[in-house]
Amino acid sequence: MTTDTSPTAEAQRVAMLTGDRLCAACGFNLHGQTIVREPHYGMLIVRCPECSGVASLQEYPALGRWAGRWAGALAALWLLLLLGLWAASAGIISGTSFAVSQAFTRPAALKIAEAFVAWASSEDVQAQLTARNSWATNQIVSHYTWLDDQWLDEQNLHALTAGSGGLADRYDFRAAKGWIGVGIAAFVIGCFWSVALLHVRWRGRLPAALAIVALAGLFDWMAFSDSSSWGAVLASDVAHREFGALALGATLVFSLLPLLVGMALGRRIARLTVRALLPPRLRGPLAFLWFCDGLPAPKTRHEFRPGS
Amino acid sequence: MRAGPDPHYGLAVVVCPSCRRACVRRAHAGMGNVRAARHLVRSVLGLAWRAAGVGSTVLVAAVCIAYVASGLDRYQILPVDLAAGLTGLDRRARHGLGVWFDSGGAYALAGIVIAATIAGSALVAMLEHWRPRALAVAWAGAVGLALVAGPAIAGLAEWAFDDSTTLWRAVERYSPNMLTTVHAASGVAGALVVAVCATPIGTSFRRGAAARAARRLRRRRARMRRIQRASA
Repeated sequence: MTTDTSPTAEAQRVAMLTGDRLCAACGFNLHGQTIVREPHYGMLIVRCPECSGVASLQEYPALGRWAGRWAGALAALWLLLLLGLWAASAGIISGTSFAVSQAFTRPAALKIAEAFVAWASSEDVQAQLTARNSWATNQIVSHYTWLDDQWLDEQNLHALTAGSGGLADRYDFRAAKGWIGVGIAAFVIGCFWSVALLHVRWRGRLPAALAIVALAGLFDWMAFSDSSSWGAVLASDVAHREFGALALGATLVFSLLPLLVGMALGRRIARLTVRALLPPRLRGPLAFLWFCDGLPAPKTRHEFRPGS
Repeated sequence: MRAGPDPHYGLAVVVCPSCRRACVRRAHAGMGNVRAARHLVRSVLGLAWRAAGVGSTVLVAAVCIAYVASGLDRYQILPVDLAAGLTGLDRRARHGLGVWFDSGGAYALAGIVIAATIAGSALVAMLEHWRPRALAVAWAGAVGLALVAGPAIAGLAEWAFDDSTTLWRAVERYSPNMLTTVHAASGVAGALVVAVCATPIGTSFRRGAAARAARRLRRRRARMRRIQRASA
């Protein structure tokens, strides 16, 4: 290194590096360093403050229209992929919360099924049963008892399931055990989205989580629609449609919590995994996991210690 | 024009003979993106490959240790009898192991030894940023964690999905007894010893890889010096 290339007053300061760029020699992130026009060749360079290595800067001519087109197509593909994964995430939360809320309403389903079986087994009713609904006899009381929809239209389900136990007459609160599964699924989904939405800061994560849960709620609402197709409907579906909204809402609201925890911890877990499993020479391409949170770049050189 | 490393910065500088404007010879940014994507894929695949290696060895070792521990418990073989039987010190103890060996115990023991040997050699070679012994200890810790987490998850799943099971009953059902715990702890300690003993193999792989990389670097430097001499 000669004297005329050292950072002296001759080097003209031009601008400041705003992007992320790693030093080719030591891997230091040159973000925030001054861009100077060096005196020897008149080129734009940035000096690494750690190792004093020179990084050259250069503008590139456009490659033509196809570079932009390919970039647009790739961006659209990425957007489509994210939209698909948004729907998939919402589908997973919707499915688990639907199953859990259905388990909540099992007591109500049993009461409805019991009333129907008692009605269908009476002699005068059996005499009236036609070929259309002859399946109604010989059923046992369970959540999956088939109910005749004409019988169902004549019933007041609130009066049918009412009792002295209050909410416990219609809801089985032990079904809250299912929230463990919902929580695990939502946490994993939150971890994934915290890495997928790298540009999103703290404030943006809550709307992202809300968007996933809102879509899950929409899926559940669509699944709430009438499932009676041949004049019969399952007791569990009837009880869920009538009384399940409360349990479903509570489950969806609960799923927000692990989703947000996953979004808060996802990047840290990803960084920890990279640190634990990747040697420093392979960490450079994944440095965006550090830059997105304003952290310094990970070490890209292995430090040999005695005994290693 | 061929650009050799310039004497001031060591960069591949090309100076236009007509206007004297200098620029550093570099691939186009578009090509840089392709290269960056290739490096990203290499890193992600490396991460997946290493995670699969760690996960599979931990899982195989944990399953084999659990099988061995439950089998020894079923045949009421004490750790002392196992050690005496395996080393051949006690002929009667060795004979007592025969039935357990025939029921697949020998394969499970071999599985533990193979998984620990792979962990001590291949994982030490792959995870070059870990100290070999620290890696062996961390791997054994992960095996122990898997042995605890497996029954815990099974019990929790049974409690969550089976209404007739209370949490206490699930804990009782999936809690190991004292003998199984001792066998499992001995299994983890044995696997750790085997893994530590296998670390020199992994270290030699590491040294070989480092020597190959150094040879590549020397060849590259020599090539650059030849180019520099030719351009001068």
